[in-house]
Amino acid sequence: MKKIFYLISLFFSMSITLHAMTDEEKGYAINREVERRDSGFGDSIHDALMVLRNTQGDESKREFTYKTLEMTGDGDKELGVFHRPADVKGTAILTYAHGLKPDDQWLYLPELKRVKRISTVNKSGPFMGSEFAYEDIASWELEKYKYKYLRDEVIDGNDCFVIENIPAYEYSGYVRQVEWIDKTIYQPRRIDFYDRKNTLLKTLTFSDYNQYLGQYWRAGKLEMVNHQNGKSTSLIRTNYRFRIGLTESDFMDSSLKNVQ
Amino acid sequence: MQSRLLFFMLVIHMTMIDAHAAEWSGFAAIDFRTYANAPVFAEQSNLRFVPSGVAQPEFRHEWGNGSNRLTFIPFGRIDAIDEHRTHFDIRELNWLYQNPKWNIRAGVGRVFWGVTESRHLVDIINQIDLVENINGEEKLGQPMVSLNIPSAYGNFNFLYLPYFRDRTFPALHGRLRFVPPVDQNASEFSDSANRWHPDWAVRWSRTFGNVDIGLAHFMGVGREPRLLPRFDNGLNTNPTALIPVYDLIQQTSLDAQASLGNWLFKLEAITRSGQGKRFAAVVVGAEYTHYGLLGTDIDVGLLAEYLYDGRDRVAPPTPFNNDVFFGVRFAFNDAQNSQFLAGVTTDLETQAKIGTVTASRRIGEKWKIELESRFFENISSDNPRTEILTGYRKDSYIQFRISRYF
Repeated sequence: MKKIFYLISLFFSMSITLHAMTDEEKGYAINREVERRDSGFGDSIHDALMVLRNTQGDESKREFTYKTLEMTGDGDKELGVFHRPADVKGTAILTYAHGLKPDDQWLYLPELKRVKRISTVNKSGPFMGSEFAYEDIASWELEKYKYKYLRDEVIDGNDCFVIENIPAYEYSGYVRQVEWIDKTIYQPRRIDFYDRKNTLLKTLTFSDYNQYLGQYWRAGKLEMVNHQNGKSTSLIRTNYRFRIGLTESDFMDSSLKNVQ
Repeated sequence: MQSRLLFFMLVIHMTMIDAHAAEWSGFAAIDFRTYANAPVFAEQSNLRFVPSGVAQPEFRHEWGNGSNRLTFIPFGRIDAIDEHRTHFDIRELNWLYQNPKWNIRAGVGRVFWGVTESRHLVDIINQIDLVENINGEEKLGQPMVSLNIPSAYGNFNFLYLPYFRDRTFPALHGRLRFVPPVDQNASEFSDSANRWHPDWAVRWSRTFGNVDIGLAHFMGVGREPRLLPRFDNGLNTNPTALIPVYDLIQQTSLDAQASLGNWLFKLEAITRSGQGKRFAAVVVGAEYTHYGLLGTDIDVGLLAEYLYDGRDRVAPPTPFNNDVFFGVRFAFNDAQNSQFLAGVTTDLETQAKIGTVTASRRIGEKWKIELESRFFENISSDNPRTEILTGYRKDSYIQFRISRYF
């Protein structure tokens, strides 16, 4: 009962404070709430299927497992291990996200058993030939963007805040993003990406949300459409598990040698 | 015979293991290699267009929620002209046990150490399968017990290597061989070295922000042999073969790489005792990558490395005493994962050049085509004692490979 009162008072106090803020402060406050609601998940693992489509409708599939370790005081640690296509089976990408500082990233090549450091300047480059850039796959951190609240809007029946995100980190391929954040679950429903010439480049839509541990929302389907080259990529995320006991030793460059 | 029976029993056992946690993968490929020139030596095969088949199935079985894993990777090649290149090996047959505090791998395995492109100087655990490729990246399976302990002070890796594998060398009829050819079945060991000599290695590695550092020590039978001439027709005639002689060595190595914006800086250095005077060798270099060439998704990397090796004449021969390497890499970042790398290593004293071009592209889901070319220039023909590469001088080739993955 006490909790309900707390939530109601929080809701009212938030809506009051949101009214008294500038659009920049409001955009930041909404995203701080996104971060607050998503913190404390600890670690997670999920399976991912990427379907790449070109303009002729040809499909090409990627399958990988993605592990995340939440870090306090720093960006998350993430490890992706590929299972498909067969010639890259066992290839792994390890990332230490650092917010505004350059990330650390390593690539593991199983045929040579070799761990290669890769430059993280390459944020706007395509992830495994898909329409997702490395920066689209990377973990979202609050300080990575400057925010500005634009308006409220209902899309596909979901009441959303519309916010402009301006990348604060170096080497982004985007001059800005426009993001629709669902007011109920505080998660994105759609992001429009504008290239360095400020032309609409891509649209990412999020669907099939599920809630885990009674708190954390994860989209089961992400659809990226590139408006300039006509290609698209679907990312299907399944088999989410949380707090499975991953530790930092699972995310060391030396542990890459044991991923398969 | 017994080992063959054991092998078949193992295969049968593996096919019966619970299919859920067990999986087969791997590849089979056909290589078509064309040599630019007729061979130098009369004994070498005149075939200018050489087909060759290779297969490497991979089997993995996991249990205990991934804490235990059995890996089996056999390898085989059939070559049209070189009977030593027609060979079979077990690249991996090992059991891995892992928990958050440590992991152990026991059996036949593969280990790679190092960061540079033009030479793999610190990479010492596995013997090189030289008949497979002269670039030192194809290696024979090494029996080992490897204990790995990740910690807040870095990663500690302890390796016990109970058995030594002899390096493979091309046969008399083969191309890309030394002068005279190495008799790979006539290996000798100096001192108390032998194939069952227990070798040890330890490596500490750690990441400090944008810098990775590895420090290692190896003690045991050196993987590089000295090559001594054998005079089958009497001492006053020309030598008829080279005999590989393996020695007990101690080698300490350092490898480091640092990432700084578009730059990667790389260093490998060793010091070795046991083969002539103690010597040092180093490879140091940088790679600059320009991302998104002219608004496309193509990345272009420029590579430069300097190679020094201070070994004396009684040590195993190396072509990399005082060399520079320049290369260019293209990553197309397309759905077919197209890649291209070209590079040339030049000896600053003799101007001898080894060039490499590799390119690859996936076709559909399960196929891949690869191009590999090596070319040799300015390699002296008159003095095999000072120019180890002299036997390669007419062996520039282009190879086309088509692989099927499964």
